[in-house]
Amino acid sequence: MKKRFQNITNKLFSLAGIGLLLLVWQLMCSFGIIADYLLPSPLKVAKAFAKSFGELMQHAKTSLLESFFGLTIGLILACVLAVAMDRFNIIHRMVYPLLVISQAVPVVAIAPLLVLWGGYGIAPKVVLIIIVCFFPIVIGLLDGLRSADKDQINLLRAMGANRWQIFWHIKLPGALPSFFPGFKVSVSFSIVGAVIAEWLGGNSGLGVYMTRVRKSYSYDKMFAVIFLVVAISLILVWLAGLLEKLCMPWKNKKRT
Amino acid sequence: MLLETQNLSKSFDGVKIIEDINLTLNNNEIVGLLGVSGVGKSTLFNLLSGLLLPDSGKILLNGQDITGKTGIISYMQQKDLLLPHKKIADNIALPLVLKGIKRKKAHEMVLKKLPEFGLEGTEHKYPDQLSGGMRQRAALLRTFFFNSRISLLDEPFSSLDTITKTQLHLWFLSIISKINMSCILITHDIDEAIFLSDRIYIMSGSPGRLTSEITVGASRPRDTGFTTSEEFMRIKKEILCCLHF
Repeated sequence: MKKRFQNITNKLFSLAGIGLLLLVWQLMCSFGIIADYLLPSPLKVAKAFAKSFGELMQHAKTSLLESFFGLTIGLILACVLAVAMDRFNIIHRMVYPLLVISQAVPVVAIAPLLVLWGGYGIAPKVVLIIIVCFFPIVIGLLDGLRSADKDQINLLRAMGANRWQIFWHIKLPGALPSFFPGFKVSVSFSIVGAVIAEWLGGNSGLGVYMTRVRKSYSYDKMFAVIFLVVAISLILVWLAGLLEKLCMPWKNKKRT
Repeated sequence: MLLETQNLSKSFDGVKIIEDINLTLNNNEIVGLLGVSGVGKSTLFNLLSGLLLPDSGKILLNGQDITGKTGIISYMQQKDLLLPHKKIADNIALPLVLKGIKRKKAHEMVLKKLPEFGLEGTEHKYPDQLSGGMRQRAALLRTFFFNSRISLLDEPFSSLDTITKTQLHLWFLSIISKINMSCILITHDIDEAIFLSDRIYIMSGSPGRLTSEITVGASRPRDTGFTTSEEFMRIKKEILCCLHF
C-alpha cells in the first residue's frame, strides 16, 4: 500500500516537471520574451495539432508502417545473426568488427545514398530503419546468449541434452533480460529513423510533412509533428515494455 | 554391485588431478566422499556423469561400460541450478522432457511425487519464490526423475543453515530408503558424512586418490541421537586420523 502510494507520488512529480516546463514556455511566449515566429507557444502548437490532426494521422500511418517493416525485418536479421555468432566463433570474429564499424558510419550520410539507390518509395526508408535497429538488438541478444550459466549448461549436458535443447531451455530464455533493453532502444530508433529517412524525399510520412511545414515557416505545425513523434516513440517503448513483462513472467516474482 | 570405477585417472594441462580411483557403489547404499577442496572430487563426478573423458580407466554401470557417456548419470550440485525462468513443475520435469516425454505427461508424473518431497502446492511457483531447503528438495526430485537408481550429490546441503540442514538430513535419509536410491555424496563436513553414509571414502593427496575406506555400521534410518553416540565419535576419530590431524 505504502509502496503504491509512493509510486503515484513519484509519477506526480515527473508530470509536475513536464507541466512546469510547459508553463514557463507558455509564459515566456505570452509576455513576448521570445518572439512568436521563432518559438510558437504550447497553446499555439496544440491548436495547430488539432487543426491538422487528419493530415498528421495520415502521415503518421506511413511512418509507422515503415517503422513496422524496418523493425520486424531488422529484428529477424539481428536474431539470426546473433544466434549464428554465438554458435560459430568464426562468424563472431568476422562479423563483430564490421558491426562496430557500421555503427560509426553516420546515418545521415548514408541516407541520401539509399534514396539514390532505392528511389522515393518506401524501400530506402525501411532499409535505413533496418540499419539503425539492427545493432542494439544484435549486441543485446549476443551478450545474453554468451553469458549463459556454464553450470546450468553442464547440468543439461549431463542429462543428455543436445545443443538445440540447451539453446531452447537455457540460452534463449536466459538471454531475454539482455535482449529487451536493446530492443526497446531499437523500437524508439525505428520511428526516429523513419522521420530522418523521410526528410530526404517521398510523398508522405511525418518526415515529409515536417520538411513541408518548415519550408512554409509554419513552426507551430512543425512543433506539432515533433510532439507527435515523441508521443509515438514513448507509446512504442511502453508497448515494448509490456511485451518484456509478458515474455518474462518470472521477473518481479520474488519470495515475500 | 551397481556402479564401479576401474583405475580412473584424469589430468588437466599435464597436471594429474586424480589417479587410480577404484570406487564401488552397491544397491541402496549411500557412499560419502570426503576430502579437502581441490582434491578432485568434482572432477571425479564430471567423469562419472560423462561430461569429461578419463585419461585412463573405466566406469561400469551394472557391468556395462558407460565411460564418457552423458545422459546416464546426472548430478546435483551445491547450487540447486533450478532454471529461474521455469516454474517448479517444469524444472523438475526437465529431465523427462529432455528424454522426449510430452510436457503434460511429465507434469502428471511430477505432481504425483511432489507431496513426498514436501513440495505440494509449489508447482506453479518460480524457484525465486521458494526457500533454500525447498529448492534443494526440488533439485533432488529433478535428479530422481533423471535417474531413479543412482544420484551423485555434490555438496547438496552445504549452502543451507544448520537447522535447515539437520532437518533436510533426516528427511533425506527417510526418502532415500523409501525410493531405493543409491547415492555418492561429496561433502566437506565430517559429521554430515558419518550421519548420512553407509561407507565413506577419504580422498586426499595430489593427485587425489582414495586413501581410506571406512564403514559406518549403524543401520538407516538414523535419528539425531546417533550424532552423539560413542560409535559416531569413534568413526569421527578414525576419519580425523586418516586426514592427518
